[in-house]
Parts: sequence; C-alpha cells; structure tokens
Amino acid sequence: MAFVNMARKEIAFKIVYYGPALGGKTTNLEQIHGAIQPESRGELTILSTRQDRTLFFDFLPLRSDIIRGFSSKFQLYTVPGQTIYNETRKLVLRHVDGIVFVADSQWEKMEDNTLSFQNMQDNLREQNTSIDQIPYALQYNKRDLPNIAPVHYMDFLLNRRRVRVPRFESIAIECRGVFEALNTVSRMVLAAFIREHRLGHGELPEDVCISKE
Amino acid sequence: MYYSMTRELSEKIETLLSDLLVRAEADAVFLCDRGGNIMAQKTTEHYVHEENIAALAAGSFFATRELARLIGEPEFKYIFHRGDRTSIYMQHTPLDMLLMVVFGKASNPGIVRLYAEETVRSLAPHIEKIAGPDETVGLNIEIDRSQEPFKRATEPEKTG
Repeated sequence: MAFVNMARKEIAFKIVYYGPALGGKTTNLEQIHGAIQPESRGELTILSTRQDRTLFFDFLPLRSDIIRGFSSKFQLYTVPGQTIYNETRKLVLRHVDGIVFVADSQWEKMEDNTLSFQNMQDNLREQNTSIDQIPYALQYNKRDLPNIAPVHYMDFLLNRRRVRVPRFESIAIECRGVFEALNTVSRMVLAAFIREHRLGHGELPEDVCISKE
Repeated sequence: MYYSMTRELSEKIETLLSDLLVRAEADAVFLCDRGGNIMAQKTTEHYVHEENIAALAAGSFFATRELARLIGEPEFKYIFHRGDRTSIYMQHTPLDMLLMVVFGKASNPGIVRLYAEETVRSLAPHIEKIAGPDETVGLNIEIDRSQEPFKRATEPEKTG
C-alpha cells in the first residue's frame, strides 16, 4: 500500500522479490545496490543464515525523482525462498505494491518455480488480494547456465494468464536483466497507483502493461 | 488503496512525538506502518539508516503476532529490545501502525512505557485520519517520462 506524505512531499511504494529458494532474489538486491547511482540508494540489509540463505528478509530502500515534485521512495524486499518460512513470506507480502518473481531457469527447478508461484498466489489470496490486482513482472534468472529451460517453456509454466506480463531473461550475478525488471515493475506500480486513484492527468505511462482481470 | 497524510495532520502528529521525545528523554521516536514506512519521526540523534531501522523494527514486531497466536494471545501490545547503551521500545497503535522509541541510559523502560502509552492514546484519533484517498489532499501526479525510475552509475558494456 502506497503512502503519501504531503508534508514531506514523499510517496513510498513497496516492491517484493518473490521466488523459489536460491533463485537469485538477494543477488538482485545486491546488484542493484552495487550498480545504482549512489544518490538513489540507501543501506542494503541482508539477514541470512550461515549458508547464505535468507532468514527473514532483505531490504533495500531506493529513491527516485520519477514523480515531478515528489521524492519517490521504493522499498525493495526479498522473501525467504525456503518452504518452511511461509509465515515470513506472508508478512513481507503485506501491503505490497509490486512484485518481481525471480524464477530459476534450470530444468530441475521448474517444479520449485511453479510451487513458489502458486504459493505467492495463495498468500496474496489470504490477504484478500490477488495476483491479478498486483503489478508484477517475471525474471527468468541464471540464463548463463548450460541446463536451462527455453523461455517459451517457462512462459508456458508461469506466464499464461489471460494478460501476459513483462518477462526478462537475466543473469543476476552479472547484473543483466536486473535493472530492466526493476524499472518495468516500478513503472507498472506508478501506473496502477495513478489509475486506481484517478490521479494526475488521467494518462498512463506508455509501454506499461498491467495484469488486471 | 494508499495512506495519505496532510501537512496539518503531520504537524499534529509530530507535535505529539516531540512531547514524547522530551518527556521520555529519548533519542528518537518513529511512527511507522507495518511495512516499515516512516509516517512521522522526531529525533535528537541522527540515524543514517533510519529506513532500515524502521523496516526491521516493523518486521520483527509484526512477526511476533504469530508467536502470540501460538500461545493463545491475539498480539503482544509492546516489545522491548534492551541493549547495553541503547534500547528500543515498540508499541502497537490503531491502523496497524507502530510507535517506536529509541532511548539510552538517560531514560529507563518504565518511563518510556508510561509516556509511550499516553502518547498512543493521544495519537489514536489523529492516526485514524491517516487514510486515503483523501479528497482534500488534491494529489496531482505527473510522471517524468524522459527517464527511467532508476539508473546505473555506469552503463554496462555491450556484448555480442
């Protein structure tokens, strides 16, 4: 849920990186933190176990001047991918404005991808919302590995709803496809915010696709 | 759905937070939502990473709700994290928000709790006005289409 502070001229949005365990969600935030213009970034907080598995969530606050006259804050969170941490995933998903679903492109991870996507839908439904109401994009990660599924097969598994959403091939560890997904979801979030509340001049940013039933 | 807070409402809330800061002899007072957005704050200390502090505090506070449920409680009303030099007190407020007080050795948990509970009662009618869309806000959003929301410090090398 966005927060508008007229006194500070700030608007804050929440974007969650969701997906199966070890798929590259934390790597996305690390790469954004490392590559973004320093004036746009805050401190990256990573709460991981000794095995580099996300324990609670990762958090990276970003600032943008994409909205004229306002400081736009985008708070990036990851969820822990491991199955046992579903309560934490529900907590992090609360009041989400946009989602980047990070799928692992390796053949043996296809079941994990679909289970995680289903889990995301279930958790959103529990919070009286649905994937059809939240702007989201898909990121097919680890495209540099040899044993990967073709994009059209991953589309068949993850992107076959009535409205197709933007999807990106990525190699997060090299920062490829990372900013593309972030910028697209950020623009989708802004477009949804404007449309839902009939703000601004009633126009949507171009090249934006929103999943909405 | 979004929250909105007018300038007038923000000033009223910040006045109450200032009172708490002084009376509790605290270092910082934050009002944040359960997503970790800082709605209002008053501080004597400068915290560089206050957004991270708010996000972690909100996450840890609301995670304890499940813990409370498992022992038959609807929720814990407040939580203390006690440190050697600096401690944190967190209390639930209406609209599922969180009042967080950071304090050092100049104060003590009893005083902080006393004044924080009083402040939450005073804040309640104001917090309930934090809701949107508020027609009085007259929000007019204009997107800068000439740029991407986020840019790299340096563009990546082209390959292939």
